[in-house]
This record gives sequence, C-alpha cells and structure tokens, in this order.
Amino acid sequence: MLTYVIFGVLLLGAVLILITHSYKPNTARSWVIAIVSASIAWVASFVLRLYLPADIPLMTWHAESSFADPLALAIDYINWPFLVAILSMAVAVLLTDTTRMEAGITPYSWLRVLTITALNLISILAANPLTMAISWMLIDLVDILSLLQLSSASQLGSKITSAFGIRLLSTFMLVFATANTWRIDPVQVGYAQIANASIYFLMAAGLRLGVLPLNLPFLDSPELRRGSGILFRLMPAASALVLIAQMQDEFLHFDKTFSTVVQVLTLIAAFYSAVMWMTRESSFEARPYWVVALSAFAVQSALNGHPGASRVWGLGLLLSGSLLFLFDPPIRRIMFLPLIGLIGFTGLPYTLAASGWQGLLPEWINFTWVIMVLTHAFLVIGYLRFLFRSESTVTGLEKYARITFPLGLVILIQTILVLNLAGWPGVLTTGSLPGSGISLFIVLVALVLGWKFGFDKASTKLPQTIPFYRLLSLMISSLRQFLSLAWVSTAFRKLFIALSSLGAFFNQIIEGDGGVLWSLVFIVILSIIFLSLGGRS
Amino acid sequence: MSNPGNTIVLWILLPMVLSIATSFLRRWKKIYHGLSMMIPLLLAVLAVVFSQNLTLNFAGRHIVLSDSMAVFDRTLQITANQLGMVSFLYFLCFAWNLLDPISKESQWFGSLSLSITALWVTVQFLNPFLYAAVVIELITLLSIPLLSPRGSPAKSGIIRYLSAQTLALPLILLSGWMVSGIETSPSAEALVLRGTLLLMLGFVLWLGIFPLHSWLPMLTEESPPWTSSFLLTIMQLSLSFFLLKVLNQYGWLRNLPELVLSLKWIGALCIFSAGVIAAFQTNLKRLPAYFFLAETGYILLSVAFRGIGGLEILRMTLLPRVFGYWVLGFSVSTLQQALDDNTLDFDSLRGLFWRFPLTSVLLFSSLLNLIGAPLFAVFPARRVLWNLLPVDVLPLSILVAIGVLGMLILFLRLFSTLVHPKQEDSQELTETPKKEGPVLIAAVAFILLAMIVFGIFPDLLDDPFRQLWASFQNLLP
Repeated sequence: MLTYVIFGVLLLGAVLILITHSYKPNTARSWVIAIVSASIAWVASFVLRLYLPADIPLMTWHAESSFADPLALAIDYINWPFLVAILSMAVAVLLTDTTRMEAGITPYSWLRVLTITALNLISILAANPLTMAISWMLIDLVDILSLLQLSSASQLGSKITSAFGIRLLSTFMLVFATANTWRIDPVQVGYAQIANASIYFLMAAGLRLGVLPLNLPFLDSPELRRGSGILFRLMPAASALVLIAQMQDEFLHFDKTFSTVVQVLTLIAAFYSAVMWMTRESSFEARPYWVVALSAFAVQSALNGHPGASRVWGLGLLLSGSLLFLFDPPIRRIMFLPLIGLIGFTGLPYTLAASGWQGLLPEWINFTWVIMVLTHAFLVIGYLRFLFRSESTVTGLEKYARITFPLGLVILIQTILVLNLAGWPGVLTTGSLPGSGISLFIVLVALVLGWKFGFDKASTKLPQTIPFYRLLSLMISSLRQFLSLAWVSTAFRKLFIALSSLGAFFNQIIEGDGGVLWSLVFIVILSIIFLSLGGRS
Repeated sequence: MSNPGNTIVLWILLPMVLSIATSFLRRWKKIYHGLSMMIPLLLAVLAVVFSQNLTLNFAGRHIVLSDSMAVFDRTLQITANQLGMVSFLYFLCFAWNLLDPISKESQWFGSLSLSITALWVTVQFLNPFLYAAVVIELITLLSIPLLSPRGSPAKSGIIRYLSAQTLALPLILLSGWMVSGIETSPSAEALVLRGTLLLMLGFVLWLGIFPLHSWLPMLTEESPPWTSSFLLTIMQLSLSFFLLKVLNQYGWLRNLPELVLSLKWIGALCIFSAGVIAAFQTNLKRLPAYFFLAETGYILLSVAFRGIGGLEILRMTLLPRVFGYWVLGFSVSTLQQALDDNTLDFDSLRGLFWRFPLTSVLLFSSLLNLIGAPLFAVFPARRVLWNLLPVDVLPLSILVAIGVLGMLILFLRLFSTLVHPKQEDSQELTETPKKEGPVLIAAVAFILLAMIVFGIFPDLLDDPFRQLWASFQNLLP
C-alpha cells in the first residue's frame, strides 16, 4: 500500500504541476507542489523499512498459457536503500534548485524530476528481470525525449546516439540474459535462479553503467550540467546497481578465463576513471568518471562473488556523489556539509561503505588489492579537491534559498546516516582495517602534499611543482586517448563503411538484371542441400 | 424460422460483389471511404457473431448458415471454428481502410483491398488446396494496379514480384499432384522429399524468404508505402494460415523430421539476413521489406516450435505484428506525403525530427516495436520465442541475436539521421515552426498510447483470438 502511495504522490504531483502551470503559471506554487509530493514520498519510504521484505504482484502476462510471465515489484534489504537514496536525491534537487532559478530551471524541470523519480523507482523495485527491462526502456525513452525537447538541433552532439544506443543494447542484453535462464526458471518470479547466466546480466548492468566496455555517460547538453540534470544522469545507474546487487553469491558459473578478462577490464576502468576524476578541472567535467569508477567497484564486487557488497558502492555513487554535485554554488561557509558526506564512501570502520571492502579487496594483498585501495584513495582525494575549491558566499542567494539550499544537502547527509545505522541487518561492520587505513593514509599524505605545494587551489601550478611534468603529461594524454576508446568507435565506423560498400555490391548483384539468375542458382543450391539432408537420414 | 444462408456467400462472394459496386462510387470520396471502411468491419464483426455455431437469433428470427459450397467442382468450406481467421483478415482490411483517407495513395485501394481480402479468405478454405495457388496468382494480378498506378510504367521490383509469385504457381501445382501420389503410397520416401521440396520452394517464393527475397525491398521502394504494407501484411499472414492448413492436412509432411529442422534454420536465417542487410540500408522505403523478412523468420520459427507451444506464440504475435506493420506503413506514408518525396533517402531525412517531431517519434516507436523492444506491443510474445531459442540449438540463438543487433544498428542510424540536421540547416531547423496538424497529432498520440498499452497488457490483443487455431487440431499438442 505504501509503495502505491509513493508512486501515487509523485505522479499526482507531476500531473498537478502540469495542469496548474498550464492553466495559470506560478513558479512558487509549482515548487511547493513538487517539494510536498517528493517529501511525502520520502517520508513514506522510511516507513517502508518496517515492512521489509514485501512482494507487490502487478499482473501476469499470458496467464492462461504455458508461458505465464509475471510482472511484479518487491522491496527487500537490497533495493530499499536505493529507494530511499533516489527519493532523497529528488528532495535534495528540488530544495537546492532554489539557488538555480536563473539557470533556466522551470516548473517543467520539477515535473520531470517527479516523473523520472517515479519511473526509476519502478526499475529499482522490479522483482524480476522482465519488469526491470520494461522499466529501463520506459526510462530511456522518457530520457531521450526530454533531452531532445530540451536541446535544439544545433546544440545536439553526436554522442546522444551512441549513449542511447548503449542503453538500448543494455536493455536487449538483459532480455537475452533472461532467455538464457528460461529453461531453468520459466516463471522467473525473481532473480533467484539467474546464476548460470550471470555474466549476461552483469554485462547488461555494466553497459548501462559505462563500465563494460568503458563508456562515459552522456553529459554534453548544458541542461544536464546542474540540478535536475544530475538526477537524470545518476538515477539510471541505480537500477543497474540494484541488478548487480541482486545477483547470487555463488556467482561465477561461467568460464574462469573470461571472468578474469572482465575483471581486468573493470579494474582498468576503475583506476583510469579515478585518475581522471582526481585530475579534472571541474566537478562537472569529472562527473562521468565518478559514475564509472564507483560502478566499476560495484561490478568488481560482483565478480569477486560478493554482489551484496556492491550495494554500498552504489549508494556512495548516488548519495555522496549528488551531495558534491548539488553543492552548487559551492559556498565556503557550508563546505563542512558535503565533507560529512564523505562518510558515505570512505569505508572507515562502522561507516556505510565499510562492508564494501569485502567485495572489493582480495583476501591477500596483491596487485589488485593495491590498485583498488589506490583507486579508492584517488576518489576521496578528488572529492576533497573539488570541495576545497569552494569560493562562493551566501550573499548572492535569496533569503529562502539560504535555508532551502543547505537543507537539501542535509537531507542527503541524514539519509547517509540513517542508512549507515539501519540500512540493512549487519550494516555496521569494521570492514577491512588495512584497506580503509591505507586509503586514509594516502589521502592524508595527498592532503599534506597538496597543502604544501598548493594543489588545492588550481592546477595551473602543476607544471612548476611536478618533476618531469611534460613527459608525464604526454604519457597520461596518450593513455587517456587509448582508454577513451575513441579509436574503437573510429575503427567500427571504418569497418561499417567498408561493410556498407560490400553490402551495396551484394544488393546490386541480387537486385540487378542478373538477380533472377542468382535466385535460380540459390534454388538449386537449396534443393541440393535439402535433398542431401534427406538422403543422409 | 431459419433463413437459408451460406458462409461462402457472406464472406467471399458478397464482398467481391460489394467491391465491384463500391468501385463505381469513387467519385463520392466520403461515401466511398465510409463504405470501404464499414464493409470489412461489418464482415469481421459478423464472423465473430457467427463463430459459435453458425447461428444467430436476431429480431425474433433464427438465422442459420450452411458452411460449404461447390464452385467449378471444387469445394469451398468455412466452418464455425474457422470464422476467427475470417474475422482476423477482414479486421486487417478494415484497419488499413481506416487510415487510407490520410494516406491518399490510390483511389482504388478501398474496393481492391476488399476483393483481395475476399480472395485470401478463399485461399484458406479452398479444397483441394493446390488450387489455392491459382487464386494467389489472381491476387497478385489484382494487386498490380495498386502497386503501379495508372500511367506509370511497371518497375523492376513489381515485375520481379510478379515473376516470383508466378514461379511459385507451377511448383505448388506440381507438389499437389505429387501429394496425391504420396497419399496413396505414404512410404515412398523419394516422392515425399520431392513433394516437400516443391511445396517449400513454392512458399519460399511466395513469402520472399532469404535468399529469394530481392523483390521485397525493390517492391516497397517503388510502390506507395501504405498500399504495399497492406498487401505484404495480408499476404504474410494469409500464407502463414495456409502453411498451417497444409501441415494440418498432411501427416507425412508435418511428421517429417527434416521439415522442423529446415523451418528453424530458414527462420533464423531470415532474421539474420534481414538484420544484417537492413543495418546498411540508406532508404526509408526499403526498411518495411526487411522487417517483413524478419517477421517471416519469426513465423517460421514459431511453426517449427509447434511441439513446445510455438502455435500459441504465433497466435499471440498476430495482432501485435499487424499493428506494427500498420504503424510503420502509416509513419512512412505520412513522411512521404509531408516531404513530397518519393525516394525517402536517409540524406533527405536529415534533421526531420525538428520539423515533424511527432511523426518521427511514431517512426522510432514503430521500428522499436517491430524489433521487439520491451514496453511495445510485439515484445511480450517475441520474448517468449526468444526464450525458446536457447533450449534448442545455440547457433540459432546467435543468428537471431545478430539479426536483432542489425535491426538495432539500423534504428540508431535512422535516429541519428533524423535528429542531426546538416550543419548548414541546423540553425534554420531550430527556428522552423512544426508542421503537424491537429488531426495528425491526435492520431499519432493515440497510436503511441495504444502501442504502449498493448505492450503492457498483451492479453488485450490475444484474448479475442484464443480459438484461432481450433480448426488445426492435428497441429495442437
């Protein structure tokens, strides 16, 4: 019942904004409707914690046939934290939007926030892959149409097609993954029986997250830079993270060599993204790397046989990430608020991400262990770097925004704290003391070095402060070009053009004057094949 | 009091007569379109009404229909449990006539579509079945005026279509004669193989199955999209019914192990080839042909899987498939009219989204629907078929997966073409007002909504046709 209330309130709010704003435009009224709707849903999500786990059957396709397919939602300890996180993000976006009114934010942006949140909740709560695939498609269509509506023909970059294509591919991969499990589990009421096809599910999630293969989320459009844009970019990752977290512990039923290859690719994606995150000029530019790095953590956890551990990295991605990205304008006096958000992913004992180390680090210290700890430390360093650049003051803000803006950030912080204390049974754990300790040590060393060499303010001083800067810069630039995988798309484009010529030639033969003769040749060939088949039997 | 009547008169002869009669009313467009729409709808509804036991109590009168008639020493028989199929075909005719006034392609469409539907009904219920080949040839000839309007020379695609359909005729007739030999001595293995081979080749030519599909894209490229979509749709579905009838009738054929295997491979090859070839296409008007080819593949796969519920899947996909073709035909036809361009090359479509956003969205949705994307009408049944593939042979799954991937590439190429204008046009396009009238907007919105509603509640489309295969008792498990 409460779940329906959450959906109902969000969608009702969206409809009310649409009607009232079309009839008699009033920005303040629309904002109030949006914030009230989102807040009710947010409070209701906490109450839901008392009723876990719960199943919500929706309908059954082909119920009277032998191919019954149930559509259902379910809430458990895996997806409830994501549900709360998503709703907290929606409330936070609405509250912090009060500082961004001049940036083209309109009541329709809030309508989109409510709608997209409701749609993403469906995919987060999807009880089986079928429900998830449908919700993914719905989200992608709404997303792409919103993007086209927000953009103009001249603004639209070419990346929109590839980004949409990758999303489509991930949805189809999910559908084909379920086809592989059908023989074992024809009813597919949940994710319980999908172990034998886990790699396909993981690839579906990996594609969506931008990890397998490495592809950065689409962020070119100026509308996506701030406020609700952050929500649109981070939310779709949530359901993919839920999919990973829902996988079975005894996960790797596929080829070990293949799993090692996937693991190495994920490791590279994580490390590369962390380095890029740490070194970008602005948090906007660095945002895709944050998504990819933490998603890679989640995928790595699943590959290590601890898909449950991926949950905390996903929550870190969403909650700590949105805390930093919504800290815009970055007001120096309240810099401590996003700083508290670090609790969400530092991995220190008894913090939210402590249980995540289990999935990330091997039992013994080896190369992977070192890289993972380094990657984690780089992410924290980058976070702090962007935070320490805060230079704005409250003077430029409206009076009401002086309350709502910090309140939005507080909402996220308190969600992190609540999840830290009562997210799921066993959330309070020491995690990996060596892992978190060494990561913290690296961060502290970097802070000291940064403070000493002045890294915290601007990267323009880097050439003077780092020895062999030009050589390093050249190496990093080459590596960046290689890992950006732009060469892969170029190679594919060339291959496609070559194949197109071949296809055109084939078409010419088949559809040309000699085409009928070719048809006759094919008839003869088919006949021979068929007769030989018959002869053999 | 019973009224003498006959199913053959009602669903074959009467529509033929009405078709001729309505053709004289072409000058009065509204009446003509109204009749062209209402007659097939009425016939479809009547078929549903009589589908219980060919009786109807109406205004105190008890109407009973007889179910057979002899014509030129051949028997035509439509029993009560076959009326589902009749209703389906007339409903299809109604659906295309419903939007025909918007497409404005051929003034003959209304009357000829009714005749063609009546002839396809004849094909299903004519005994012995080999004479149906002659009727199919007649349908081909009747469709030529629709495909090649008066005054314009018949193009190569149309001639090739005519050749393929005509080539199939002797093959089917020959197979029919062999069949009679097989029935008298069923152990004649060589005869069985030859008969099967001829029969299959006949179907391959009729349906334009890979690699004899070349006439399909040529035909759709050269002919009006709304008309060709109707002709191809009714042909594909009627021939599917006809194939089932043949399989139902001949035990030696349906029990041939090679047949099931061949159907699976031919089906998978159709999907594969359609996807791979479509991925490289640069003309919008050719695309329906490749979707048609892929759908033929899915139909053959369904028939091949009949032992594990394939016919159930085929039934589930019937209406969503028709709906998919209908929407695709409508969107291509609308774009052709809007642009006043008969070629519809991708280059001429650049940036079209900014001028015709709703029509473009309709085109995107129709392609996603036919590809089998979740949320759309075709998906629920398509997913079931995909689920069956890994149970069987792995290469089949791989072929199908590559075919679907090819279709996705095609979709993305078209998407990119429509949303990205030429560099020099981009600013102008942003400022160009949208050119879509309220009627079109309402129609598109309604179709999009329906597509999604049917995708979420697939049983809405399946429920009315649950008894469709009742007459194919030998094929049901």
